[in-house]
Amino acid sequence: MNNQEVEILLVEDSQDDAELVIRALRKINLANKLIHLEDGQQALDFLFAEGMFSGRKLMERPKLIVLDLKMPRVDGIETLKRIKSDERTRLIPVVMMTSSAEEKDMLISYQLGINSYVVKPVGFENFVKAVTGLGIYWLLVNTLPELNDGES
Amino acid sequence: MAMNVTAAARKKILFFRVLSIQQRLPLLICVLLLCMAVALGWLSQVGVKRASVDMAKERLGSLTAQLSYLFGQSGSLVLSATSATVDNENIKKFVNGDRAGIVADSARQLLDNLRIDSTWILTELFDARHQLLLRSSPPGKTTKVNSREILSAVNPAPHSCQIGKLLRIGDSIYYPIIAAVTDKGNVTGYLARWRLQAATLKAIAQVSLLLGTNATLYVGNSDGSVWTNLIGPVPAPPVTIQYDKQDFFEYERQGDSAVLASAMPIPNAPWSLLIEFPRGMIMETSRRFLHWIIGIGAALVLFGILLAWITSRNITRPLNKLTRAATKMAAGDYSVSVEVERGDELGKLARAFNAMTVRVKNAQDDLERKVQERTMQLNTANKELEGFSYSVSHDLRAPLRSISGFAAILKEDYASKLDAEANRLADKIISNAKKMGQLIDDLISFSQMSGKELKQQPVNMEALAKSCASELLQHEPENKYQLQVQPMPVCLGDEALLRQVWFNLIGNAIKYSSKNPAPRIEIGYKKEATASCYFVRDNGVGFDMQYGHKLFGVFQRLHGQNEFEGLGIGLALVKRILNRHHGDISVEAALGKGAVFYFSLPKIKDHE
Repeated sequence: MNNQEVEILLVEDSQDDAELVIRALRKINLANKLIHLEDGQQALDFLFAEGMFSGRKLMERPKLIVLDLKMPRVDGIETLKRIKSDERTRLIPVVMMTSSAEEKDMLISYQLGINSYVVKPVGFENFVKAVTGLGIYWLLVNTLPELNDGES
Repeated sequence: MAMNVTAAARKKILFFRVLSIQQRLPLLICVLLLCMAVALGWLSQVGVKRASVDMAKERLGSLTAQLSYLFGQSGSLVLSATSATVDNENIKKFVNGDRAGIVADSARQLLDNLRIDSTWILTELFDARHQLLLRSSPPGKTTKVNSREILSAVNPAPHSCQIGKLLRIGDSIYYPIIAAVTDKGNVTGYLARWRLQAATLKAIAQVSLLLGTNATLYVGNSDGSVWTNLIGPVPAPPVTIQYDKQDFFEYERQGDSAVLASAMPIPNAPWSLLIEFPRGMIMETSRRFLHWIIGIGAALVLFGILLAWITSRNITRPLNKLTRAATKMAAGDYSVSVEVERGDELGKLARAFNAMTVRVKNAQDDLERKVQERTMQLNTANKELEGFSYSVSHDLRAPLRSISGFAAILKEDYASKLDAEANRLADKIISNAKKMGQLIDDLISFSQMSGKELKQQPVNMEALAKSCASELLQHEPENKYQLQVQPMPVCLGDEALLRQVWFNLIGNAIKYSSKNPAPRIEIGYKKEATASCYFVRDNGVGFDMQYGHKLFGVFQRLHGQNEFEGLGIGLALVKRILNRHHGDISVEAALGKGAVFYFSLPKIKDHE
């Protein structure tokens, strides 16, 4: 995996779902700089260059983090909380992409500063539409401030 | 009139009932004591009055008897002195014509002797033919009395000697004493004495000492012609005096003052004696007695009221305490208890009350504990259910997505290698996965219904129904459906949930009337006594009413999937929403003739 130029960080415990997301993004050529991790702990290690990612440069941040809600070890909410409470990662857009349409999940996500909350459609057609829309918007339409390195 | 009387009586009784016991008992005792005091006072007053009158009468009687006797005695002395003079030989001789010097001197001397004091104004001696023979009177005084008139009127018998009637001349009163001079059984002459009826001051003082200051003595002729109070003439008393016995009278003297009087004839004279007592004096005792009775009665009533007040307070105070405690308890404070310091009925009541409080408190605590337990159990169950639906929504959907996703990928990537049948089967996989996703969604929203809190607010039902209908009809060909929405009142409810109700019912109406060439949907309102009743009517396929009861169950359908799409959860959801609003739903339908769904919601009081 190319750790140097990651644009999308996909955190998803379901291999199948991850494959469907990646396939949909690949169709519009946005899956090249994507890294898929399987739980929140891995995601946090990656972002803060710890554990198995201890050699990584912190300066290189993804343009988008796509989080699943329910994951083993560290779940989506906890991951989101850690991302949004750290100066270095606070400004990275995070999209919650989950099967849960629960009001309270939505509420706590937005309270913690989620940038977008997407309920995964069950039908594949709609699912593809949602993922492509999301990719196009956050990577191509949306503009971000210069991500200055907060770390000295 | 009779109505008014009974109403007034009832009002009185009511008034008495309104009074508290603490006021009622003293009032009762006050009335009782007052009645007793008045009755006893009246009775004893009457008794005392009668006794006073009796005593006064007794005293009057004895006084009149005594005085009349005294008068009689003095009269008899006068008479005997006169008789002795008349029987004197020299008087007889003088009358018979023997007027020798010695006889004449003696007779003159005898006549002079009969004028004992200044009240005796005249003594005269007459012969049988009433010719004046001899006269003795104080020198230089003339009198207007006329003895001859009396002699003619009386015509005394032999040996007689009598006191005559009182005679009024000017302001003075006189009386004569007439005696016959008798010789050998024949009347040979007459002696007449006149006396001024005037008591000396000493005598008056003596009499008043005997009578008492308020009593007055009167003497008069028994025929009532002349009366005197021993000082001067007075008007005759308004009574008729019997000659032979003592009598009592009550009359008014001198205009206003009532008197009690006793009269009695005086022996040896044609006179009567009368003593008057003012009634006021007699009643003085009974009046004083009445004052005492009133005073004692008032004191007794006051004392009685005080005693009754204390007693009733003694009873009502613990009762009030109990009432306060009971009121507190009624308001939900079960920690109350009443102090018990007495062993009587009230004490028992208080103890029973306390025991009851403890039992109620225990029962209440027990109930609260049970409710808490149940609530906790319920909360746990709800949490479990939430967790269940959460994992259902998350975990069941993920594999479904994979199924439909990979089937789609299969179709996309291997389209050229799959034949038509394989493509059809892949489509079936995809559509079934989609349906299952829908099912899961519906099931979750249905199960979440009971957990959600209702946001009650006034809802404009007409606007809501119109908006749902237009939203549902926007995908239908224009003018295919004839829609009619009647005016409807506002109701109270959760707008989002009621929107779901309209959405499902109107959606059903559209769906089931879609095969009618001229589908018509009517939305309206029917006024009912206790609830607001709304309805949605269509002219669609309808159904047989014998399956009507199945309509509102979860996953119950009356039509095949290939006839009309649907999962069979919409009406169950509608029923659940309405039940949560304390409303209900019913249906009228016939196969091929359409259906009417009625649903009712509790009325808002402000609107009708």
